[in-house]
Amino acid sequence: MKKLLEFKFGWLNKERLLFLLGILVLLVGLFSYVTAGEPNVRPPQELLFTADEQAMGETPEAFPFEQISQIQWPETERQLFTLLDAPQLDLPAPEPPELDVPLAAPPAFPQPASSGNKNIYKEGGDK
Amino acid sequence: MKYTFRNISLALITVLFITCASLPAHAEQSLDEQFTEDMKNFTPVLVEEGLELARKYMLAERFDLAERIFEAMYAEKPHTYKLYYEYASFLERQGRRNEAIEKLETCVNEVDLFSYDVQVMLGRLYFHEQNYSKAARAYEQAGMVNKIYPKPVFYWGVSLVLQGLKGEPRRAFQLLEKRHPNSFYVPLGWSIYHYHGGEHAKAKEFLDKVDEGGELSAFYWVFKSALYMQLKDYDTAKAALDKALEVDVLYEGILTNQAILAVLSEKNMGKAVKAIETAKEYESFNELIMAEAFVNIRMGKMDEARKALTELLQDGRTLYFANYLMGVIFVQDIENVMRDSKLSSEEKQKKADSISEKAVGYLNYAANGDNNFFPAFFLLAKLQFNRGDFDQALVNFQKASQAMPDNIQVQTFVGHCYLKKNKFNNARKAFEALLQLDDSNTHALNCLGYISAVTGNTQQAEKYFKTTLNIDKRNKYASQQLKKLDDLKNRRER
Repeated sequence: MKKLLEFKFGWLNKERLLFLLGILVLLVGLFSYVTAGEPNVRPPQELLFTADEQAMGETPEAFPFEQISQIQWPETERQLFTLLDAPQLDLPAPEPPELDVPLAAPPAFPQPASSGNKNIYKEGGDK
Repeated sequence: MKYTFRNISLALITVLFITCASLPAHAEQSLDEQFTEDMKNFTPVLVEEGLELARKYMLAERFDLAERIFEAMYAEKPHTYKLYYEYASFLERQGRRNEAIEKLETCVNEVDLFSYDVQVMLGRLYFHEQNYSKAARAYEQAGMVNKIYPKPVFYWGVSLVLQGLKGEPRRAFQLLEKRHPNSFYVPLGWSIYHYHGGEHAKAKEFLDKVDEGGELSAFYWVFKSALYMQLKDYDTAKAALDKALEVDVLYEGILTNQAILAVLSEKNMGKAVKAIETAKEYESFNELIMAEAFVNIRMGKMDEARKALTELLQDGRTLYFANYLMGVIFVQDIENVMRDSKLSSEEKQKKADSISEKAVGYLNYAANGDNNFFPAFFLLAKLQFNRGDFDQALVNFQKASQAMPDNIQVQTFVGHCYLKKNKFNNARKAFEALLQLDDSNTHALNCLGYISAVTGNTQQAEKYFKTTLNIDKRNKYASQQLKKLDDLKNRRER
């Protein structure tokens, strides 16, 4: 603290430093005031580039329907298709059939007390 | 005169009748008197004498008196296994198996007597009580003491198998093979070992090695019936049970398997019910109770089945099939709740959720036992699929499909699980596998069409739907989707 109070660097002592800082604050304030626009009026934006008709070529049309299948879709694009284009198809997934689980037949004596047996399942499982 | 003669003859007949009627009472009375006298002279410590006396009353069919003699001797805790053995045999013949076990356990634990006969009997009693871990211990001890007979080592191995163990039974059967290479118990043991590992063909191979011309135990025939029931050869199973009856008409397990055979082979459930009722008069194996529950479920008597199974599983018995049947009952409960028109959809869902938790618990146990029980996987997967838990459903459908790769339903649902998860590549593979099994499966074709369409391959989708319509012209889904594809095509062309 003591060192800070006795700050001195060449001719730049504490008082001169504070004076210069004060001038700097005033300048920044003045600059902001001058460059600020009016309320609710935006400054015009700069145009970053202009379209080069020649370089762009023609605007593409919808992708030919017949050729969709020939595209080697990368996975990400395929997912995009699923997200964006598939809903247009409005295809519902086929409903799963009624799952008929036949009752497994009881095991005969002697049967292990705690374990199962693979091959009991049968009776019209396949349809 | 006439009347006097009639009176006299009537009186004579009455006297004769009374005499005849009182004769057995006299005889009995005299036996009771004899017993009182015998007991006066009887010293309970002299076991041989006491056993002789008990035998005398057993022959006279006065089992109550014989038991009093046994009790008197038992109270003295004499240091000879013979009393415990004879007393237990007596109790077993009376159908009091648990008391017989208690007496033999006293002999082994408290009186500290070791006998081959006692251990074998204890093993047999535990075996028929289906307490396989204790049976294994008793048979093991008997087998270690006496190396002459193959029976204890064989039953030691079988008890280990029936506990659901895998490694230990091998050791027992290897020991049996070493000690008694020519005994029929050796191939029988290996056959049982493979049977419970689910390898039925191998089990049959070993059983075929047994020379049926020799003297075989009733257990052999009972096991053969069980194996052939698995192989769906019910005639051979029936013939085996008839043989078992020839060998030992009282052997426990014959009636149970006859009942189960009726359940499996008879289309008429009435016959199966009758067979179960007959078996229940004499036997109370877990398998019989489970078969009865199975029949009750099939006949829609859910409450009866539930009651029997709850009792069966009460003392923590780990019966995979009983757990499976409980799962079946709860799944049925869920279906009933969903059909209940009095409940609002929220109430239905709440109720169904709480029931399905129970069902999943039972089915999980049944499915993930030591050996996998695939019907339980299948049912569990169905339940999870209907609840919208597609990840778990997929795991269980896949496990079921490992055992049943040719099962079309399982394959279909593997595909649908992937569809629900939007994993189209996997779903495509599953449905293509399904087409390999059945190339005219229109459902698989429709699913493949759908997958092709939503993944951008509309041409392929058209092909699939057209193939479906070639097989089934009235297939609604295919014609509707084909129309939608056409509309889209026209819109884009415009």
